[in-house]
Amino acid sequence: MMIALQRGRLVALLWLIIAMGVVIAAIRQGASFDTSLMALLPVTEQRPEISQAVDKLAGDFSGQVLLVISAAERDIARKAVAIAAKRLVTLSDIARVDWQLDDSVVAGDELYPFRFSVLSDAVRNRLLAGQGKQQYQLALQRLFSPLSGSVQDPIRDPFAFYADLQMVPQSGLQLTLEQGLFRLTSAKQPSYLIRLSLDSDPFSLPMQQRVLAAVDPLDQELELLGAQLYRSGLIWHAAAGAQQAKTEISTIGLGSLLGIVLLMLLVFKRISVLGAVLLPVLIGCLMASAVTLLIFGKIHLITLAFGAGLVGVSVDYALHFICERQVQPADRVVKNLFSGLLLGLVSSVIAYAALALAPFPGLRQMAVFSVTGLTAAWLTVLLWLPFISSGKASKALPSAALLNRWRKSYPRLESQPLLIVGFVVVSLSSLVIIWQGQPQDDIRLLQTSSTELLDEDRGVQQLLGNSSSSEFILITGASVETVLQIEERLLPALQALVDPSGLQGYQALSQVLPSLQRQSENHNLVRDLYRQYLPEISTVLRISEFQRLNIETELERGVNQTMTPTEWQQLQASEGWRSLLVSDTPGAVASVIRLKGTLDSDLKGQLKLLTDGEAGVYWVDRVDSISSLLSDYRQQIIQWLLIAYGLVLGLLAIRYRTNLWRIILPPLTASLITFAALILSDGGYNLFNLIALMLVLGIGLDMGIFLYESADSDHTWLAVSLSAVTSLLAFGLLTFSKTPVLYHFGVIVLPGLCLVWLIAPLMRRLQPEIKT
Amino acid sequence: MIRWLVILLFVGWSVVSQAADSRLLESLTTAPEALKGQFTQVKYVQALDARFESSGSFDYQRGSSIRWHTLTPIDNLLTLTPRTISSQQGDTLLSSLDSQTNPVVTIFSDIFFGVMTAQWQTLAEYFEMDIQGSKEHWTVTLHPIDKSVEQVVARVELSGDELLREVLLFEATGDQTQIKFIELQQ
Repeated sequence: MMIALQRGRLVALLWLIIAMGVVIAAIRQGASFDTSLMALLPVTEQRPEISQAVDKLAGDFSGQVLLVISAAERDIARKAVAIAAKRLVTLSDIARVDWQLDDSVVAGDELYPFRFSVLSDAVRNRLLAGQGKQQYQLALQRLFSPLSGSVQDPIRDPFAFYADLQMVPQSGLQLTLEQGLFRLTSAKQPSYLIRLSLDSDPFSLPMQQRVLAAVDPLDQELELLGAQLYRSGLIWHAAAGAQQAKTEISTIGLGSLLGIVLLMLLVFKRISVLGAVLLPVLIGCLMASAVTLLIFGKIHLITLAFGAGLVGVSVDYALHFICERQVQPADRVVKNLFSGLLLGLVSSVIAYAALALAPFPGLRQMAVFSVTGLTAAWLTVLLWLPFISSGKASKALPSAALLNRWRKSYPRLESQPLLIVGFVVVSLSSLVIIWQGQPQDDIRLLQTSSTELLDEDRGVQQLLGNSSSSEFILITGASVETVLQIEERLLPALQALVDPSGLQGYQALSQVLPSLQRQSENHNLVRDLYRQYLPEISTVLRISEFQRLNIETELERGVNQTMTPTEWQQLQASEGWRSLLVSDTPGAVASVIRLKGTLDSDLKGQLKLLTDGEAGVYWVDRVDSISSLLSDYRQQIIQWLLIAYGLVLGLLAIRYRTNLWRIILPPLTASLITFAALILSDGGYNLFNLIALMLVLGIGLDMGIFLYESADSDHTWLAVSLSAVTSLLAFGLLTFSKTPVLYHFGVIVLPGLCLVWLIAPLMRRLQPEIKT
Repeated sequence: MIRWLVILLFVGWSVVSQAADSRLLESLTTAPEALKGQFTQVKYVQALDARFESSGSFDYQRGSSIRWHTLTPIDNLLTLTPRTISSQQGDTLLSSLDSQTNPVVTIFSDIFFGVMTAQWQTLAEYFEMDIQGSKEHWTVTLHPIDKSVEQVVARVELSGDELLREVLLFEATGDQTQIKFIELQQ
């Protein structure tokens, strides 16, 4: 006895050392979290250049805060801008505030030297079509009409190429400078833009607090003036998300914690039990995170969230131990419970380990996480709890007797033919409903912002003429020149798709920075025009021989002025365009073509077709790829759920043979009914519902196994009931969350576990005499 | 473009002296529904150190179109509508600009039609006005407020009696344009 105890202590100590060793190793490696949805894609589908482009665009977007102030009267709107700016300047230590521009820094004629290299589309098309005469006539018209609106210099630019170039909007944005303020040209009311560029992460709480404290009071203040304020930017979504999380933690989170504590106190009448219940789960999650980190290098936040949920099943083990411990000494408990605990663990481990077979990194991580977590929690229960809850056996729990009396009054399935028929009918009709259920793999599942906030954001982006950052064309190549040439090949086909109701326009690097090849083509076109029409224009303008020589000299000087990418990047005019060049690393250059307008699936199909024809060109549709990611994971989970059921059935059939149905029916029918009800009420199902079904399966199986192994003892019934209720409190309450992912998890767990618990007693055997 | 607007603004409008602010101008002027006449123009181009003369006719229908037809030495017709600005040579369309989608063109077009319907307030967004003289002979000098407008036109001088008779445009580059109106008919 003493030797056994000593050996137990030694093993417990060993487990402590192993656990600490693993955790320390993980800490030394450094905790690194992954939030990118791209990382959840199967390795073969990940394209580093695509994720890099997506990250770059997201990075550009994330630190930007846009405010639009508008009013019915121009003066009121301008006054409101000044008031807002005064407040916002207090943020200048954490953000750059752009609300006015000194007129004197307006870009001058920096593009003038490149007038023969960079031609506007209109001019180039004219010259390509052999309509040089029109260019000549336009130049004359500019000179003679009062409408020229640009520099007239018949010596340096007799055909007025530069005047045409000036007509090309130099920014993709619908903005104009009005007496120093940025006015939105497409707004119905006078509207002005204020832009904040945050220095640090918009997810940082102190940053959010500072910005919100400065901006939020403006709503009312501007309202009094008769002006309105509209917001756009990641920070508003991040702040709303943080606020929602805070609210839900203090309502749902606190509610579930309070519920669990109260339940433990009510049943066991001592608080120390809570520690014994939570310790294994805690050790399980800690070990799971550490091992996942060590194996994968980093841990995805989705793994962490749902993995912790699955490891939550291990609350069972502790509860069984504690309930049994009430009536027996610790060493007897371990001996009695061992086979049940082992079977419970093995069935859950098999179920969760099957996830690793899927080719998706997210599911593999989740498999490693939950298997490690469950095993660690299980070991903790067996090795540590005997020492933590040493001492004599306490007395039987009154609640166990109470609960047992209620169970005894329950009918048994075997003795109720009507009930059997009912079961068959309900299960079959559930199956029919499930069969017809439609999956919903909508990206909205992952959104946490309110519709109002999303609408406001979208409104501002539309006013500004901002293009979508989630749908774009990515062009990759070895050099900037290659990328530009590919773009130039692509643009005519893209231009053909432009239509006011669909693709409203696009923004491409090659529009403002032609490839060197294109620039040299332009030089030839210009030379041809000079050759053909310079004599004519010279006659009309009475140009002297000397002046003509000057014109020729200026032409030679101009065609030698090619615009290199490096030179271009230093121009003021390139400011709004530089972000299109997502990578200029030699050997791995990438640019994006951004698209404006609403793109329907038809148009997207055409864009995909367009890009498929060129090597190194990709159509990137983030919304679509996230939706198909969700869909792929959903299909994998369904397969896995079926495999898991199959494997577990096989394993349990060996031990329970004809009694197998007693164990498998509660989780199976509960899952079917819940799932069918969900499809009826929500109109479809998604990935997160399915993950929740895994939890229902895990807890349901444990319940059946333990009840069978303990011959339906009343303390086992108490333990499984408690485990169901704690899981309900921990995960079922998520039904009330406004965060879609959590809601979809909770909405299955809540009714699912209730049903498991209600169905399980129906399966009990008739002979309660088998006693320990 | 600005020159064009300014010219049409004053054509056919009687301006009372001392009307220094846009609100006062607004109360004193009305734009005729339609107007037509002839013009002569002399343009001094600094780069060539030469003067170019041209002449032609013009007409407008309030709120719908304005036509500026240069007849000598080249034949060119400019047509403005609230949506587009187009240039024609004989039957050939040389260019057509959409003033709704191009912000640069939008501003010009906005002022232009604001001017045509006597929206002095709109003009005041772009220029400071200095009005001198008497009803028989007056001069209005316009100075751009924004640097971006100043790049196009540095100063405008308008003069006339009952109707606008002469416009002088001074550009930042040193170019100058003088336009005289004759045979005006409402």
